[in-house]
Amino acid sequence: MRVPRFPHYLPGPDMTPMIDCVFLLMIFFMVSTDMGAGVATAVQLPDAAAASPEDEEELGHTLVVDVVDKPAPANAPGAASPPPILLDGRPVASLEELRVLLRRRSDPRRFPERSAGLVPGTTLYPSARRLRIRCDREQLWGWVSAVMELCTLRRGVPLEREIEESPLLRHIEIAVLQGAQAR
Amino acid sequence: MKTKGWQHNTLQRLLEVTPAVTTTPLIDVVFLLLIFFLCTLRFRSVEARLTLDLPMDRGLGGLAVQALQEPLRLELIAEGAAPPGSTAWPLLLRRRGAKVPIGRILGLMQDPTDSRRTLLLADPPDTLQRLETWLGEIHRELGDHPVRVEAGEQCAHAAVVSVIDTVLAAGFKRVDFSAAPTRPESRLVPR
Repeated sequence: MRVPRFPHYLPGPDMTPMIDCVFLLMIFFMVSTDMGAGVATAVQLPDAAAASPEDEEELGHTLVVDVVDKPAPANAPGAASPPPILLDGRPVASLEELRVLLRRRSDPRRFPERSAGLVPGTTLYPSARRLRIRCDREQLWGWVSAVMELCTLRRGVPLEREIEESPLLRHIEIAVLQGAQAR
Repeated sequence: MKTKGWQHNTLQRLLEVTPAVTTTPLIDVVFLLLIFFLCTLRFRSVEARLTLDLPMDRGLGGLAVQALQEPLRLELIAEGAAPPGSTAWPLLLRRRGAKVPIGRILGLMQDPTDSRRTLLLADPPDTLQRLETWLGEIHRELGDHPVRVEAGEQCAHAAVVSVIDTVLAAGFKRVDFSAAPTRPESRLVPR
């Protein structure tokens, strides 16, 4: 009697298309996921229809300040508690510390913007770096204006001191979401 | 080349066994990676920007040019922050359909006949849509005039951005913004 032989392959579903799909899904998730600073997503940006799109080339050269939402009254701009501000994803203890860190990173001597001309009364050019302020939509405008004031020359402070301490950042970007505005 | 019988059988048996890579561990790992990315997924949002160039001169330079081009000022103050007894802030600015006002707005402009006086523009709008229409009319009249949005510290960030956005949508190109608005009630002369 002839014993029937087993087939050379096991019968079953063909896995190849599924693996193809899984690989495609994985590539999609790898490309579209944002593995950057986790705190950044805590900021709900306001909408603005007339805003200009961000420049990908300039992003690497941009300092990012996040102003996160925080319940009142700790979020009052004059409060003694640490400001709800993060520089490049790290919280800062005070606005003074933020100014020191901004100066360190803006470094006008290393990144001068010569086309802007000298800062009046100094031999310094302003920094060519950009500052992006990502402020939560519910947060107070006072924080944004406080950060902007840190970037310029303060009045009533000797100029010699200011040219050593001021970040001299003049290019400011207010981050928004480009969407339909409920006007 | 001729082969013997037993050699032929062995060769045939070897050819029948198809060599294959075991893909099961690979699929396991891929599924694990897929689950990881699914769990940690956070879509990257495409952001836009409102740009501004800050002055670096402590307000001491360029005065002659500034005097010629005194900006149209839009003061935005948070609801509840109006000075008591003031009649200069009668209108609340709201989003269309919203019940809660986002602040009060006031249109100010230098008097073209007397540079020392500031005019309160008649009938300021109370919605962002009316603000855009209102600014559009001023834009047609003045051309590309500079506009300054002066917002109080207590205003919500979204409200200030909405107003700046509306100014841009009305056609103005030169928009800047500042905090700590001056409140020159005594200088207001309603038109």
